[in-house]
Amino acid sequence: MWFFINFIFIFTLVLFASYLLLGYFSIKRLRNYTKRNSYTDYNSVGISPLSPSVSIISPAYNEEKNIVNNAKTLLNLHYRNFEVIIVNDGSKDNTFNYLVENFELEKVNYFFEYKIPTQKVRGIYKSRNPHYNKLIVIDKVNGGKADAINSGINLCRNDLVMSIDADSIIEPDSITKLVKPFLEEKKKKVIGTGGVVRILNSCEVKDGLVKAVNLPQKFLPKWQALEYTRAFLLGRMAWSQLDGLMIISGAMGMFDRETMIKAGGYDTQCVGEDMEIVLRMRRYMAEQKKEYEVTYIPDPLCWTEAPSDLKSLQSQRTRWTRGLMDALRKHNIIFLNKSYGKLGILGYPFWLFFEWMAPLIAFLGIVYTVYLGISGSINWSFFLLLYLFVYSFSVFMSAISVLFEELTFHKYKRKRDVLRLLGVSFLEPFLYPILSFFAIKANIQYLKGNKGWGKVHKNGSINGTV
Amino acid sequence: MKKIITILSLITILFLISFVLQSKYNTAIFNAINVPTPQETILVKQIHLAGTTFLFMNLLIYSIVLCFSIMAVILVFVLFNRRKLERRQRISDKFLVLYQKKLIDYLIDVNKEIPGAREKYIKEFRELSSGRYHKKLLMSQICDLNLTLTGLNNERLKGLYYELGFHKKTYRKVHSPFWYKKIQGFKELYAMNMTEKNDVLMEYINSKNELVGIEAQIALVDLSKENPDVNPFEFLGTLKTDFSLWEQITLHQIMVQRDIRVPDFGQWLNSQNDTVVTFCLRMIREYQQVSNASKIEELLDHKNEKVRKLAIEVLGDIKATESAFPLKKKYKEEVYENSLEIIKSLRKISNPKSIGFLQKVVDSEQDTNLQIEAVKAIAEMGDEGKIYLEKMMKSDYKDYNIIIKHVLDKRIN
Repeated sequence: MWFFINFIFIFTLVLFASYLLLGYFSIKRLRNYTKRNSYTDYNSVGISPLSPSVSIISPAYNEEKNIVNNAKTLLNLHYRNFEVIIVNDGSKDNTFNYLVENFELEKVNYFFEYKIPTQKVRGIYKSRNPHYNKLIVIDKVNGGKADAINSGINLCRNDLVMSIDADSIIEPDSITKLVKPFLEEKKKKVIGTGGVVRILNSCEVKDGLVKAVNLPQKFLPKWQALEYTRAFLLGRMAWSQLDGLMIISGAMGMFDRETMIKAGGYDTQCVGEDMEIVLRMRRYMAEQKKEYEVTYIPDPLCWTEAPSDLKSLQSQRTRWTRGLMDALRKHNIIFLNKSYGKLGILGYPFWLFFEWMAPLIAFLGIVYTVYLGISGSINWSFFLLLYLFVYSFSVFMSAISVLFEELTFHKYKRKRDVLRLLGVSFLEPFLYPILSFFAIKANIQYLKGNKGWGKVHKNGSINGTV
Repeated sequence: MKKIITILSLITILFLISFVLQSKYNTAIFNAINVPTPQETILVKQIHLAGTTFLFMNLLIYSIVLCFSIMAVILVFVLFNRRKLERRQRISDKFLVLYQKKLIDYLIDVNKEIPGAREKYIKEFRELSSGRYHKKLLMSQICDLNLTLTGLNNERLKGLYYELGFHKKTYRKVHSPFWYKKIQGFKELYAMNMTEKNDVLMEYINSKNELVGIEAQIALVDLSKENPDVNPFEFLGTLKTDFSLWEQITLHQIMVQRDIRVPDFGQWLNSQNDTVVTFCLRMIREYQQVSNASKIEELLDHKNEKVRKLAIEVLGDIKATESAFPLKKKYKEEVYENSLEIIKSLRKISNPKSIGFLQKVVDSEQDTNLQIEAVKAIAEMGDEGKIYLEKMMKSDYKDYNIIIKHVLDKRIN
């Protein structure tokens, strides 16, 4: 039992040390990025005829509430050369009909090639109205999000592909910002870039654009606002700096189409398709012995609605854990394998031990503590001291991420919102047992072969307050 | 940086205070429960708390104190930072308008040659910009305004800039060891049409810091307007560092926005720097410098496949009819992407003599992209092309109908 206790303690210390190191690399990256980009004129690049063409792929399944406004938002992005491909993934509601009616769509004689195998494409549609000539709609048999994006990849002809969720709201200048790392490439080929995703709840939205950024009112979305800030500004920025990035958020990311196709496209059997595609593309490049990089930019470019009730949160988190397990299992060859560079030595082991295993170990720790408490063999003074140590560190890391946000983009304009965000960091550690429980549940589901997406309730609003 | 140093200093002070307090607390506890032995220091002595040591307990306590101290500092910082930002915003809103108005008044009055007006304004500006922040604000306003003006007004503003001694600040920035200050200096140089530091700018063309390099290039291109004898892109001959597409786009936009003279970009097509060659190819396409077609044809044998691809693209874009033959000759030797580009270029050149070649591509290739592009090219060849497509649709050799329907559907392409 002493081994178990020591293991948990050392595990915790290594985890904390890793977080501190990530914080260090993150600040290095953020500082460099903000300084460098303060001299950048994005507008002139967005309108340049030399800028590369981009295909935006937005898969839509039962999105009748927002699909028309979302498509309009995408068509109005600030960039010169782009096309918008909306993939109706066999929606059972009026998603497709609304698109046809509102954009005056008609079927075209498109020669569709299944370079990446997908479900059957029923038709390709374009608008009769020249105002919407950048829009292409694919109508296909339902095959899931990954399958829908693969259809879009098969159709598009541009070198860069941007995949976005149909229920997300993206900033008007997001293409230019995501394109920049691809344009800056010199020796290493850039194969993917992600941007920061933020929480939309309680924000004011008008005509598909975020007009006023507010911190969510309800506790769960508010906590997720803190969690996203930490995960993106601390975690992903640091991994980008360390060249160990394993995930580009499914809500929004830009990829090199050629590498995507050569790597085989999205895995339709994996619920964590956003992590799986990055791992596969990285594996492909490493196995081809090509120099490459996957980057992350700290600009908040995409807004998404977070689950506001426990049931939806559970559904989302169990899916994320199952996705993580699946992606890690499928690419276990990378683990501690030097041929995959820092991804194999640092990135993969971190995700394996600290993202997948940590909640499981924490759960065991909680169960063991309860047992010790009941059996009366716990030293309460020491326990409290240790707990306070873990608690203070957790609060500290969250506060650091709030500080990073304050030093860089300060999207929350009201002082009160920042203070509330700091306040949430004091309550956050009490949520950890619940999240550990979700992780246990996800592991059981995965072992039972559950591959479902689960239901996440979203209000969805393109106008007004979400 | 200053903010981070302040935070770290505060944390260090808090940590030292907690260390002193903790040492006193250790001694008090230890004296109460035990007597120290000469072999063991207080810190490694075991205590009756889960069998651990003072050192471990101290580490835990220090960490807790440190974490909460940092939290407190962050809280204070956030509050002060917000206040500072709001204050800055208020000042900036107020004074930006004031400075803009004053600068316009200055130009109007000086242009009207009102006696004593110039001296009066200079005195006023000196008083207004006495503080560091205000000086910075006024400098940026003069620079921004100067970028939007031309002719005599430029001269007047430049005179004011020198009169107020701002040029010295710009020089200091140009020579600063900090790259971001240097860049600011370069920006001020070209905003104020100051050519006296062109030699310094040339030194930074090949800077290891790519941002410094590109800003030096932008400044040199922009300042070339001041001297009609100077080639705005002279630096391309000496550029050794890689010239990313981002930098190329930025420079091209400067050319468009600031109406820079366009040199003959063919002169650098034999550069040893492949990125310079790609930039020149793009510029030849943008400015349709068709006289460079033969030089571009030579690049079809370039060792870099990306350069070859761009050369093929540009030959099509400038509609170099004579280049159709060399392009067709290269088709079989090229990598897939470049072969595809050759077909696209033949389509742009649209010489009916290529129909036979394109027909062969459609018949012999298995790749649908190549076939589609070849059919598209045939469709662009006027009446001859249309006749060919009709023949193909009736062909018994292969069923081309799906591809031809795709190509002829004007809504798609």
